[in-house]
Amino acid sequence: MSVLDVDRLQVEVFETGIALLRDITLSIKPGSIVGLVGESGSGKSMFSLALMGLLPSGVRVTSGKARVAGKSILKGLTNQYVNSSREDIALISQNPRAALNPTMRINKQVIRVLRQRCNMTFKEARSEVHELLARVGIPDVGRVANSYPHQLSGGMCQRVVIGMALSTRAPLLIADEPTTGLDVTIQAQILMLLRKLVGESDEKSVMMVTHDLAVVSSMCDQLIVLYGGQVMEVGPTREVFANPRHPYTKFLLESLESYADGSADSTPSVSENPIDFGLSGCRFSNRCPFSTPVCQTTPPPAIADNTRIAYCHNLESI
Amino acid sequence: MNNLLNVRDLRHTYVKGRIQTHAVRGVSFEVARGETIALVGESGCGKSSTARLIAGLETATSGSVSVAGHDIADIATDKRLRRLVQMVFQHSDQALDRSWNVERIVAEPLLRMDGLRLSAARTRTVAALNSVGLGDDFLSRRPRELSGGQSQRVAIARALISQPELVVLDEPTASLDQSVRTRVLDLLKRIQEERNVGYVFISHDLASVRRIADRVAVMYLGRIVEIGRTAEIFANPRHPYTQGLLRSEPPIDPAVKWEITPMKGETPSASAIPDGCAFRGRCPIADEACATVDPLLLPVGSTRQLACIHRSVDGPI
Repeated sequence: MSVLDVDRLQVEVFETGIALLRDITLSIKPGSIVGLVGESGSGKSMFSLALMGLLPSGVRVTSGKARVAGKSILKGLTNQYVNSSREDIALISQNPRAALNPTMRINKQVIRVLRQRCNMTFKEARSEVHELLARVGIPDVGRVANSYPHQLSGGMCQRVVIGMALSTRAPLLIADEPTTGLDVTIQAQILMLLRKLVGESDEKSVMMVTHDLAVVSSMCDQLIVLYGGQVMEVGPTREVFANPRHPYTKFLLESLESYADGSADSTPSVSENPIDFGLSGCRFSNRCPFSTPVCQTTPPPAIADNTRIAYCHNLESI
Repeated sequence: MNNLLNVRDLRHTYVKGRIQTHAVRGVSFEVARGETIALVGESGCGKSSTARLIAGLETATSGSVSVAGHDIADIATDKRLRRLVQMVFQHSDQALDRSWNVERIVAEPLLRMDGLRLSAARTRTVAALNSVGLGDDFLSRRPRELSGGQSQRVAIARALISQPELVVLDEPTASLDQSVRTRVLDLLKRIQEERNVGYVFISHDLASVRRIADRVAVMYLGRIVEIGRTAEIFANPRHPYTQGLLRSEPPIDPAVKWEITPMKGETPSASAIPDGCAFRGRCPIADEACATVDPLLLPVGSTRQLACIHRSVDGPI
């Protein structure tokens, strides 16, 4: 059974009917790390907010299904969020300091999570705090437990958040740009930690939401590429990197490679037009070098090939 | 000395109450015309403070900065010299005046330094915009109508319009998407080739540095710990800090398994710098000697300088 199953999820701005996420279909297997990648405006953060039930006001799920560990997190036609969904998903956010309560010492916050999410008594929770902090590689456990978030570095706060997220029984962890504000040496520490802790458990899965393809390539088994609120391509990371099928994925990877090896002019054929959320067809069609009239008017079909899916009208001719 | 930029023993200490923060602790380097030097390091290493001192936005506690033979204090105060050094900031959207249109933003240095009128500056303004790949239809736009990449181009056009000889670029691509980042870096490179301008490029993104810089200075707690040619440093880093920093970058190829022992610990505060080598608390090869000797930046071979008592001698690593 999949940890996450999303079927044709649509998220719209209520007043204008503009679809911020269109027809999102994907699933995540237990014990895997999946990368959800896209540039700014791709809808990657909107998607994790939709799963968490944290969409901004005026933005709603209008159709589609989403199940976590087999349980629907959207109920009935009104698409109300089912309360239990909050116990099935844990969030590691981009800004760990904002995720922690600034007026509360770390040990108190950890105890609260353990009591609420793991049904521990106060005594059990209190004896668990130091072990939990040590598990995420915090060196000076006693001092950190007694500190307020502002007294800790960003990397240290992120460790605390990861520790709390992993202590819950939630089978799905959403890590939204978990290392974006951190220095590269601290990023390496956090990524190694995340990979080790997820590797220790067979049930937990992580959805890494990021714009950083290097992070995805070194961390994720599966890759989901988003552009303009629409899935472009899905597949195993190695296969997608070795042989991207969708024109957008090709463009993204080419810009990354030419960037890394310092070679000159990268992919000039892709125009710099901004994302047009009014397009009824493929959202990438106003930039795509292979665009045809049908791309402008009709959403692209899902073309599956073994382990991979690409959403494009013109796959054969590319 | 024919260098465009000379930085000599630059030091800067911020004082707030009883707390002294030693942001820059004796930095020296030079930049030739048409050359790019990158200052890299983690947050708190002093790279941005150094950039602001070089651009004349702040006055150093001690040490000297000279550009094309003029002291930075003169450049900062003399309208005729001010054009020599320009700066591009990280958040270009915040660095542009939101109530002005692009024409006025780009032309401002000419209005202020040369006393030109907006209409008289028009030809040069359009030329500056064209050189960054924007057409004259952008003249009347306002910052909120620009994408991230476009506003960074406008900021670059503004920096270049006064024909500077040195441009200080503080994380110019950090807030841009990957594909846009590549284009802005290529643009900067092309402009450099055309005008022979020198760049001081501040970044924590090692891939950008590899793409644009001729030489790299790796900074840690206000000092340069290793400096040399980009290709040589990336191929063969010698300082333990540089080695740890380069290893921390995740590989781009998913077929490569990323197995490293991350560098331990975090950067200490610049207001409580350890004795001896400032890096020793995180260094894998530190010993008792490192606690007592403050390592100097010494030449190793003809193109590299290094500040480590264990690695500053020639030989195998």
